[in-house]
Amino acid sequence: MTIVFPQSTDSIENICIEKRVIAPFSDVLVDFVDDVSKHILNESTFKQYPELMALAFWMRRGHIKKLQYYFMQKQGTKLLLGRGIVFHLAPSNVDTIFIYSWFLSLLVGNSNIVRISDKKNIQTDLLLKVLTLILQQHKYEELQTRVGIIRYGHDDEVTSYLSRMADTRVIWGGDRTIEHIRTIPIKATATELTFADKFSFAIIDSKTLCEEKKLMLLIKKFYNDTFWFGQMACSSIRSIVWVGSKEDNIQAKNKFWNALETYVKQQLPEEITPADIINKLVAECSMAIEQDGIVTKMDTPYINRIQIEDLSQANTHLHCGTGLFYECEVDGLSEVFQHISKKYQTIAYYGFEKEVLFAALQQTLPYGIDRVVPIGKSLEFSHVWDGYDLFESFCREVEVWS
Amino acid sequence: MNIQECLNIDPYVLNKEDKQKFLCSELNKLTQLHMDNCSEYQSILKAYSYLDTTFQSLEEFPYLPVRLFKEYELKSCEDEEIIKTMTSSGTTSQKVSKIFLDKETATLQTKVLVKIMQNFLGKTRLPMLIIDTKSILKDRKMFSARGAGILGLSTFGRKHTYALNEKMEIDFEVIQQFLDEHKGQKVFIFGFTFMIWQYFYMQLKEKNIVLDLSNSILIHSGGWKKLIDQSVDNKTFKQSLEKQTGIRDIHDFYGMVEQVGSVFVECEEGHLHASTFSDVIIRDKMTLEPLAIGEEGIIEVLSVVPRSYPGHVLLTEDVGILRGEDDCACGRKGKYFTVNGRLAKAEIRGCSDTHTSDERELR
Repeated sequence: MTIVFPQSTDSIENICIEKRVIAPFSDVLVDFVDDVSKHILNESTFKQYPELMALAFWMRRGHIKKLQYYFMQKQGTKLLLGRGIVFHLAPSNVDTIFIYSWFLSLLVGNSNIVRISDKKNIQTDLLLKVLTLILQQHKYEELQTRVGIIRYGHDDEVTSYLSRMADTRVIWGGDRTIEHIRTIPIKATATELTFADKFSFAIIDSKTLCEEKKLMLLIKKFYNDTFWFGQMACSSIRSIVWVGSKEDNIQAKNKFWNALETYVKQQLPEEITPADIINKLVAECSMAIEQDGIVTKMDTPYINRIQIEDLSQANTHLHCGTGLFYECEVDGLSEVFQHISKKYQTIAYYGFEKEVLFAALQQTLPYGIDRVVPIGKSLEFSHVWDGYDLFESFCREVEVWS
Repeated sequence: MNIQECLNIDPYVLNKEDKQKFLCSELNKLTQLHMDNCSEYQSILKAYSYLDTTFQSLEEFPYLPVRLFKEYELKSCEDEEIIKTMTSSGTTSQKVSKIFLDKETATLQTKVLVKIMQNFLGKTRLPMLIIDTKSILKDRKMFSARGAGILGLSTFGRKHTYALNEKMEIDFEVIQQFLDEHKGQKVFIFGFTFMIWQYFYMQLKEKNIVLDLSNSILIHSGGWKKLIDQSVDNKTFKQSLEKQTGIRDIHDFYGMVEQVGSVFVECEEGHLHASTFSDVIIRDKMTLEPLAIGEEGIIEVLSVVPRSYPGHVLLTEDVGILRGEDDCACGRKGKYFTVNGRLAKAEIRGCSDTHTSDERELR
């Protein structure tokens, strides 16, 4: 176990002492977040990491002010205050999640203890360096007793200690991780947020795509939504549902895949390794055995397509990411919502009006789905995630009666 | 040529053209057989639109990734016909491959193995020294690929003697007795590459003991992964062993439980050779297209032996280089190649695994 901040064990105990919360969106909180943002944007070493740049843009004062406005609207005449101490267990493979989780909780005035995996990662190390540097500044003295960053692997004793101290525990997935950590008790007054393994898919209106003049714009967005994070983030697009007549679907698929293939061949995503190629081959064979999936041969090893009958055959366990796509066709939008399990998080759409999708959800009332965004925004983080409004979850609502 | 005719001649005499013709015809028959009898295999052929295809060259045959045998119990025979189930080595947490043999496949496997081993060991069975502990055969929990490998090769020797005791220490008394008894005779030594290095060579070196095993042939297998970690390559292995034991006749062999009949033995020139009954194709690591001589890629193996399960054409996760065909200086015909190791594992990605991935790393 390494305590990254503050630099001694008894300081962690200090954080756990019950103390007053900070007023939501106080200057000191907004200044701190903005300072971190400035630091990242000014330092050239960060430029090569698009996820970190996206994070820095999210943390800019301008955006934080927007979040504050949203929070104030939500609050209205009610009183929303931080819950106290929030313990975040961050995922080991998506490097920026711990910041989003922590900062949303920080902005509404909580003390935070963040567990990060001890797995070495350049981006995490860079981030931690900046964070400690800024936190040590005198003007953030008030925050110093309200932040703990700890790196450790699998240590139930530490998790257990921190779980007993926290008022809210946040577990960023892996179903098995959640299952395990839930065996470790939290305070009777504490709440818990869990972010389980989830999967996402795209819906494309074939007719619109056939008529699309600026196809490359869509292709670029789609590429980012799938190839970043090795197509393994919960919100990465892994299946595509083509919506339209038989003829339109055939034509749209041809046009789309040809364009994507050309684009991928230019990009040559170097994070895809030979082991991934083998994994995709295993996935193709397994899908053939278990779901009668049919392989559509492509000219590039970066894209693997498996045709399935409908979304119920989109076997999420067999999906290995790195450019593997399940696809199926439907005549109309209402069919899309017939096979939506709790495991589905995001629908990324193209060629549909927001209002139409809103109405379709209201009408079909699917069991799953937390988020519907245009293609290109799948990986964009928001304070509403997996069906929780995190601002609300990190606050308690104090009722004052007359 | 048919299999029977091939079994009657030396396993390294067919030239490229004759061998391709023989393999193509046999493998087309096997592809049909497995398609008719293994529904999973049929689903895979269907997925790739290969139903009712006659393949014209070895490169065209659809290959199964070898890992599939860890995920599924694939067989092309009735359960009652299975006489032997083989499993791959692996730690308790790992999944193991399960390979099912019927009588026909098991018999053919033995015949092919005999043809290949006799080419190196001669027809008479030699006194055999096994660099391992006898308890590997007794302990059911330990009995895995290592035990099976020893038993499989034991048929080619007599007077089986185990060189290590239960504590994996060299039993010098037993070895001396064995050597005295077979003075002047050629001896067959077998063991796993890593075991030979770690428990035989290292102990001899530490104790500064030189044995005289110069009149013997050593055959070893099991892969180089652990030795590469210690920066020991084949050349170092051979030189070191010769210095400590005088053995000059050393042959590695490459094979896997998932494909019976594919036994590639290293010749005097340091090349692994494909016999008449099997072949290799080296494929590009990304595009999986066949590569030319001299280029490093993923090893695909083909064998005419697997009849009871669809393992006749497999894509391994090993990396190697094709060195040539029909023209090795050792005089054997067929393709010859070298193995460079395993493919690096894929990185774990995604937002899952806060704990589980770390757990895996720690174990």
